Amino acid sequence: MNKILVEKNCEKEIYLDSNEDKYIYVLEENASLKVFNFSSDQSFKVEIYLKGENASVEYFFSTINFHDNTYNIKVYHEANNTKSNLVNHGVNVYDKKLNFVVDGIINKDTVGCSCTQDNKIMNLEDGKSKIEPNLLIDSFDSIANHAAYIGNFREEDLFYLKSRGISQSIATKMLTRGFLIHNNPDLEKIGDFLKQIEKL
Amino acid sequence: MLEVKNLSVKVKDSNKIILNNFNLNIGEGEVHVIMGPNGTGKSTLAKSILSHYKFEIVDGEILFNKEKLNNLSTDEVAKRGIFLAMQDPTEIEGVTNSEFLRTALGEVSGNKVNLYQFIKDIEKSYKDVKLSEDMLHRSINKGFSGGEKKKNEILQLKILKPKLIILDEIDSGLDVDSLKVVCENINSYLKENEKTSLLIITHYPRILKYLKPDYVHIMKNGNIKQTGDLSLASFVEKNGYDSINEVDESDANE
Repeated sequence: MNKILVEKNCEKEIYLDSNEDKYIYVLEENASLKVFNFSSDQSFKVEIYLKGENASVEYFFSTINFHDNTYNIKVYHEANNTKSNLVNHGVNVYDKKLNFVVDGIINKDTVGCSCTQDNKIMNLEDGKSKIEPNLLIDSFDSIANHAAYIGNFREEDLFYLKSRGISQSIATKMLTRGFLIHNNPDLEKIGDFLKQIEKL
Repeated sequence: MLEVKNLSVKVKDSNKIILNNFNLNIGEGEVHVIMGPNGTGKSTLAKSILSHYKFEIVDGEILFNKEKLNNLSTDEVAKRGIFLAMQDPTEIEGVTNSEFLRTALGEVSGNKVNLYQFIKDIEKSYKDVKLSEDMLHRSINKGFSGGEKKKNEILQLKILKPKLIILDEIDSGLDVDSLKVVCENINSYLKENEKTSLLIITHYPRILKYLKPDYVHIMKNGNIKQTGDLSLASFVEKNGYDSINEVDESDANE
């Protein structure tokens, strides 16, 4: 287990490649955290506790899936005016299971919270993918929304790339990379992950 | 160069026939235009040549420099030197124009692309089509206006250097100035590459003010009904497609 505390008034940016099976993040008042989690093929759990007022987290997760895996990500809004934005993108390469279970929990006594999540999985073959976006909102004064999509890369996009002479396999790699590398991460810090995409 | 012989095409997973015993011959360096009303199969022809996933050839053949294209994949057709400038180019989030073009150039040429030469060529091409160079680093067609998307298509053909260009309603949604830029670039490409052929698909003759065709074909109900010169386009503009008498197909395309 990996536990990280972001102290009062501190900003933190973390790059993870998921060697642990559980991560816990605790944010104090006015703390902000940005996590880039690029990993492949290893189930894990994440718990994010927004304990102090005005704490905020942006969690950008991308994964390439080759076997059965479940990713469970929970964010707890325990103070006023806390914000969370979770963006989880997965590419399921074969016919295996890829599950995203993503919970946003806003406590009853809090106000002014914002909890958003965007979950997408692309199946390259007949993957058995599942997304469970759970918004457990017990507060009247909060904003919460989610998007969930499971499907394939658009045939029109593949056709466009191929119509310029790009082969199916390279076109798929380009779309995979475009889909997984989102929100402008530092590419030098995710070299291993980029190599994994190239191997597809 | 391109021979389309007795081609019949249907929508995949349906019995709907779009092209019905269609014939067309395009020689080296020739400029052809296919005009016709909506839903007559013009775009289906363009997409079928490029092995589009929505259509299935049920009869006939498409030959390019004597090679049969029917069973080739889209990228294999493109590698032969056929370029389709699309009517409504798709937007692809996360794949930059730069990455896309460099990869495509490498695939089409079969060579590793020299980055310095690529940047030099592309900077000039961006200026030629009057597009801002910062578009190179943006996702493909993302946030582009209709005119910018069409110019981006022309930019791509300048880089990829095809032998046959198919323009599928390149003029739709273009203002007069953008249409001029697009046509000037096509004309200069044809001048530099005299053996390159051009197939223009359009509803309206206004593009023919800038791109002069050798042959004008009028298409209705899945095949060509009449072939002539530029005067045929003027006739259609004046009298409409309903005025075209259906003739025996063997008279067409010659």
